[in-house]
Order: sequence, then C-alpha cells, then structure tokens
Amino acid sequence: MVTVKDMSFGYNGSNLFSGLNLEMEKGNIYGLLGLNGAGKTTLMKLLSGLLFPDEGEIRVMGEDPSKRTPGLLSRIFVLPEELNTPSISEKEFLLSYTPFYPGYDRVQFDRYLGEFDVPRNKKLNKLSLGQKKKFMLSFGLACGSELLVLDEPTNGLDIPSKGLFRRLVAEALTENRIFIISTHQVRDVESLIDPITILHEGRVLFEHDMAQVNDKIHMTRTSTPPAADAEGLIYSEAAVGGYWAVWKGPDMNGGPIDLEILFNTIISRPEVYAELFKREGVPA
Amino acid sequence: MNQILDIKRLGYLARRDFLSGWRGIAVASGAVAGVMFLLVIIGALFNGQSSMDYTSYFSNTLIIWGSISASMAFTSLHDKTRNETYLMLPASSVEKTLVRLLSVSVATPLYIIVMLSLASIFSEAVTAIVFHTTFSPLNPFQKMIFKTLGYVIILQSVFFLGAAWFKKAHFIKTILTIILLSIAIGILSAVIFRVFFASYFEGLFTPGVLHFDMSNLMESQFPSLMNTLQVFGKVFLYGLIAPFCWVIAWLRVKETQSSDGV
Repeated sequence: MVTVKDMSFGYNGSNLFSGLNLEMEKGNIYGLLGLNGAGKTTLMKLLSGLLFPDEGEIRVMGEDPSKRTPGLLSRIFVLPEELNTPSISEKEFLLSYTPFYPGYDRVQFDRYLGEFDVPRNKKLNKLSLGQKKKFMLSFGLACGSELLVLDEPTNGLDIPSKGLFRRLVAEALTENRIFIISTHQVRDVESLIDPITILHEGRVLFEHDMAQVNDKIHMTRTSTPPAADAEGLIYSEAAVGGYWAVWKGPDMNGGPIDLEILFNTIISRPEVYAELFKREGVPA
Repeated sequence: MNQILDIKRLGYLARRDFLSGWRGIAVASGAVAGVMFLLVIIGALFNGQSSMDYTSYFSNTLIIWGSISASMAFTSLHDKTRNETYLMLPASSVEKTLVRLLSVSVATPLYIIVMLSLASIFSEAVTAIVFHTTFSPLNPFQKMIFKTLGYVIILQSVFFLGAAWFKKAHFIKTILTIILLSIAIGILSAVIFRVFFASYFEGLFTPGVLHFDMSNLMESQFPSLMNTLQVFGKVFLYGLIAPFCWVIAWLRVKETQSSDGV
C-alpha cells in the first residue's frame, strides 16, 4: 500500500534521507518513531505528496503522491501537529470539505464528536487546541480515507481523550485502512501502534511488529542494576524506583515491552538489533 | 472521475472559498459602498445636485479591488500555517488555479458591478428624496464599463501571477516588478531606437533635430514594420499576456510544496 524505494530527500542541499526504503501494508497502525530532527514529519509529508522526493520512488496505493491527483488526495487524510482551523462554523466546515471525500460518514462524525465531547456551536478557530485536534480527528476518522497520517495526534489532548483516541482509532482500523502515527509520546499510543518503524540518521533503523520483537527480546524491571556482563543483556537503564533491562531471547511469561525502553535500546545499540533480526532472515 | 478538471469539484472549491471569504468581502463592500454614499451626500449637500461620476468610481474600484483580490488569490498556498490543508484538498492544481481565476476575473467584477449599481440606486434615491436631485444611478451596461473590464482582466492576470509566484507581499512585489520591467523595456527601447536612427543623433542620446515625431518617423522609415509592430502589440496585450500569466500561475501551484510556505 505504501512503498518507498531508494528515496533521497534533503532541505537546502543537506541530505535528510539517502536511499530510504520502506513498506507499509494495509490493516496496520504504524508507529513512526525517531529522535528530534530524524525526519518523521518530513517522511509523512513525502508520503502525502506535500513534499517531492529528490530521487527514488514513492507509491501510495499504487500512485505517485507528488502528482496530487484528486482521487488519491481523497484517500489520504493528514492531521498535522499544528492546526490552524479557519474562522468558520462546523456547518460551514462540513459544507466546505465533505464533498471532496466520497467515503465521508456523517453518522460516524457525529458519534466521534459526541464521544470526544467537542462543542458544536463554536467557530472552529475559537476551539481550544485539544478541541481543534479532536474535531479534526473526528473528521479524519469519518472521512473514509484509507491512509491516515497523524502527526503527534495526542499533543494537546486531555487524559480521558487520550484513552478515547486509542479506542476510536482501534475501532476505525479496517482491513483497507492504514494509520501512520508519528509521536514522541509513545506511552499515549503504546497499546495501539504495531508495527514500529524507527527513523535514525536518514534511514529506517527498525521496522518490525511487536510479535517479532517479543520473539527476540524481553524486558525486566528490577530494583538493582543488572551485572554489566550478564549473559544476554543488551541494554539497561535507570528508571524511577529501579532499573529496566533488555535481554536477548523471548520472555516465557509474556512480559510487557516498554516502547520507550525499546526505542532507547535500538537507538543506542543498533548493531545488536541488526544482528538479532538478521539471523532469521528478517532484515533489520 | 476526471482527475484534471471536474465541474462538480470546481463548484465545491468555489463554495469552500466563498464560505471562508464572504465575511471579508462583505466588510470591503460596506466600505466601498459607504464611501460612495458619503461622496454622493456631500456632493448633493454642497452642489444641490448629484455630481457623482459613477463610471469613474466604478473603474477605480474595479482596478484597486481587482488588483488586490488577484494579489491575494493564493495566500493559502504560501502561508505555512494553511498551505498543507490547501495542498491536501482533493482537487487538481488546474481546478485550484481555475477556481481562483474565475473568482478574481469573473465573479469579482460581476459582483462589483451589481454591488455598486445597487449602492448607486440607493444613494441616488436618498439624495433624490432628501435633496430633490435628479435620479441618475450607475448604468452598468455602458460601453465604458465593458472596456474597463477588459483592461482589468489583463491587469489582474499580472497580479494573479504575482500571487502565485511571490511567497509574501504579493501586491507590492508585483508592482515593483512591473516598474522594474517597464524601466528595463524603456532602456532597451531607447538603445534600439538609438541604433536604428543613429543618423538623427548628434551626441549619445541628443537628437540632432529640434523636433521629430517618432510615430511619423517610424511610419515613414519602416511603414510595414510599424503595422506589424502594432498588430503584434495588440496580440501581445489582448491575447498573450493574460493566458501566459495564468499558465505560469498554474505551473507554480502545481510545483508548490509544503516547505515553500512562509
């Protein structure tokens, strides 16, 4: 559904991506993670056709997104991190935008707005940041687009809304849909995103689902630090009230994987992960 | 569904533009009609009759409003807080350009004609009742109005291109560009003229005769060239400038990326 082949892109002569390859399949909620400046937002813009690659090829649902054909654009919904909603009412917004999305479902939109408790009688520019985000999320989920690109979707959401966001996105996922969620707030989407894609230094450092991760590593949390030379230890990190340790091999008890720790481990020990996932023919 | 030009989508785009812009248009209309009403009242108060030249007022309004609205045609394309929404709107770049073009070149002039006609009828009615002046509102069907419309469409096309080309201060930058281009064309023309009519000059640019009529001189020296130049000038002015500007504006819309926003 989304294919990136040998794609290069940079700003003002400096290369951000060089020969980037990526594949994303329908029916998944991809988590796009990376350090600040890793290019998450840029990659999302490239996939949406907001930016054009310098070299290589991007195909989204079989089309080149940089052509920005109306048919493809109606199948993509982008929720940017910063929203600038127009000074119009909800009714005017719906009159302005819904005709462009053939799959728009008014009943679903009303349900999402109701669940998010977004006020219906205010002009959109008068809504708070969180309310604007919930309004646009509701529209995005209801507009019937197959590729939903959400950049830091939980920024500005209150605590109940974050849980609601996870539930509604999980509900909205169908076999034909694909979500790409870029975030630094991994705990907000921990139970939601799978597979994980990590961008680092202009390339895809990690691209695996949680089942593969669980197959290869496990995590423990102890009150004392693990011995540095303990067998199978990949990474350890001090946490509040104890230590996290990441070990080679699956957890027989099926313990949870902490996404923040996983991310830190991959960024600090990329060679170990490359090796771990290469052994059984899975490219890291 | 046609991916380049679809009339339905064009209509949706026009409706979207109207819904987001009608408040600004209403405020501007109020200001233009209000100033006109005031001028009519002042004229009637001091002269005892309606001395308003509606045709001139219409022409000036059309030129100023038309140029400004054409300059603002693509603000959502260059504003980094809005351009992603605009670029992701499911319509082709042809449709996005065409709807703005129709808006500034067709809808805006028509709206100004109707709005000023109604405002003039109202102003004339008030002065006729209060000051017993003769009732002579704007006649929107006079030849002068349509002639002005033609010129404004050509002028607007340049501002339309400026709106798509420049990332900010579109109006000022377009005017500056026109001035610079005029100076460049003037210098070029002077040089060409100096070369062609070298025998008529004594110094570098000092004519050797006290008076000469350039068009007579040109016609006497190069009669067929003058005719050709006149035809070429008319074709260039009426037939080429506007389409050229529109096409370049479309190409600009097509190639704009979100990173171009400022």
